[in-house]
Amino acid sequence: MSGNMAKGKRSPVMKVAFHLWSAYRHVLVWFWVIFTVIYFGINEMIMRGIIPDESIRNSGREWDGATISPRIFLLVLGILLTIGSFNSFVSNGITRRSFGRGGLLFAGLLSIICTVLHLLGYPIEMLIIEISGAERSMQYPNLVIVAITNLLMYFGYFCGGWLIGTGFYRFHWFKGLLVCLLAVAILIGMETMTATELTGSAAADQGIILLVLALASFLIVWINDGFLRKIAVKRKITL
Amino acid sequence: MTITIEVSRLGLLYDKSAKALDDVTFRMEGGKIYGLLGRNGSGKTSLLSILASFQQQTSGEVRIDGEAPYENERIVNQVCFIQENGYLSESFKVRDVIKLASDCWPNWDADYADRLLNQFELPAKKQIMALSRGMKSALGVTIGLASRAPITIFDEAYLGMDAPSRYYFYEELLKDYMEHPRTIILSTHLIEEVSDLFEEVLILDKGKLVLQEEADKLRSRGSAIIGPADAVDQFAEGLTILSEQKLGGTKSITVFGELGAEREKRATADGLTIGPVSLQDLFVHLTRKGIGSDERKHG
Repeated sequence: MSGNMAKGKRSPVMKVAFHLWSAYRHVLVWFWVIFTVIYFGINEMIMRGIIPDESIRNSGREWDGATISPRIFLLVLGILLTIGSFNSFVSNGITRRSFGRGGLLFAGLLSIICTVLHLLGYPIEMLIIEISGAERSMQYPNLVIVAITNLLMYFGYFCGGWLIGTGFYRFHWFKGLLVCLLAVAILIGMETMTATELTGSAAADQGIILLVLALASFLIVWINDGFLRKIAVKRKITL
Repeated sequence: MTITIEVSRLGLLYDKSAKALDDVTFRMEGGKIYGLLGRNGSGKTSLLSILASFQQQTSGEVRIDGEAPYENERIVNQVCFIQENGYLSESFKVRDVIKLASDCWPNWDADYADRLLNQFELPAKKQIMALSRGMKSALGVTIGLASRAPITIFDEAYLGMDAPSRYYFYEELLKDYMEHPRTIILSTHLIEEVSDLFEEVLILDKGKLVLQEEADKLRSRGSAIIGPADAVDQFAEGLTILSEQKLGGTKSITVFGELGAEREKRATADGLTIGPVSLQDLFVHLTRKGIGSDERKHG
């Protein structure tokens, strides 16, 4: 077991991001494999009429709605971040600041990967529809807007989960619950912004929506960072 | 590389009013093995966790190598704090924990870590949650020793290990300390087992530092006297007796306080044998209820 690999070459922030990536990459791969298989499997069954649902069958663009599960997945990973990893890093001589920044880097990386994988789903969906010979509307949205929106949403969900986990780690259950409500309120706000038909909005509106999403994510990150800086290392969470 | 620790008027409140630490002041020179002793709830872990930047003090000041350690990137990776069942991520495998430690501690010795893992028979692929209490302790001490951190703290870290493993750890600790001098702080209830390692002892009681002294000097503040029961009783008049045992006509007592040359002469004349006293006996005496601070200081 060689432990000297690249020792001391990485900055503390990069060490955090690297070890988080090492710990969670398999989970990410498994999630996307299972999720896409189930998603396209169900879609295929609808197309073949095995599952009778005309509304879905005729609506087209199902893949647009495939961001909900990855968001929840990232939310859960975020919740686990402080609870599962904070002790390990700080007890190994990493500052809270480096843990926070490394965690952000990791959150950004996961968000980018999920965004790219989601974008890759569009041609796959098109291919499946073509092969199956189904007649469906194939008017896809502006993929650049979709990509930026998803990136911000994934990032926001991960950081929202992270804030929830940090709240319950740092505080007793009541204050933890308040932090949880705050995070959920911000996420609901973000969802409401994207619920307006994004791709159909005017360019100026789209810009404002993306700006608000970015600001909401920044707000979550800022609050979480403030909590992390003063957090004491605990053996067990006290509820 | 040795680093000095300076603690000044340190205080820590928990639950907003109860004092875990109260006005603690001391200085630890680098390159020594310190014993931090105290009863349960005396504040040992609180003190050590502040030194390791695991939490912030409520009042007072800590300086490690002249700088406040909390959130100080230069200092935090110089202080390795190991506790029994400490802060290992339960879902990690042994090899993941070692990999993380090897990446984080600047002076990490991978070969030494491998040797310790083999000696403690720790399976690299096993998850932490599947390890026994003894194995978790062994993994903790492996990280502590292999980190070669200039300040290495073991807080009851070896409590879960069986006796042969513990003695192996003590031997390794001493050997490695001789080869790589650094500051080592041992907090323990197993005083008899490790007292020979201590160069200096600090005793905490109810959040206050009641004593800091070189171990040899502290030991000299107590004596064991053995001889005929009557002679021992006469000799012990006016002395603070810590413990006594009687077997037939022979009696053994442990007394606190320096005897002085005259008393030692008298003991020899009375046919009494004077021997050293254990740190544990002195610790029990110094932390028992009702003892005054003057007695602690002067014996």
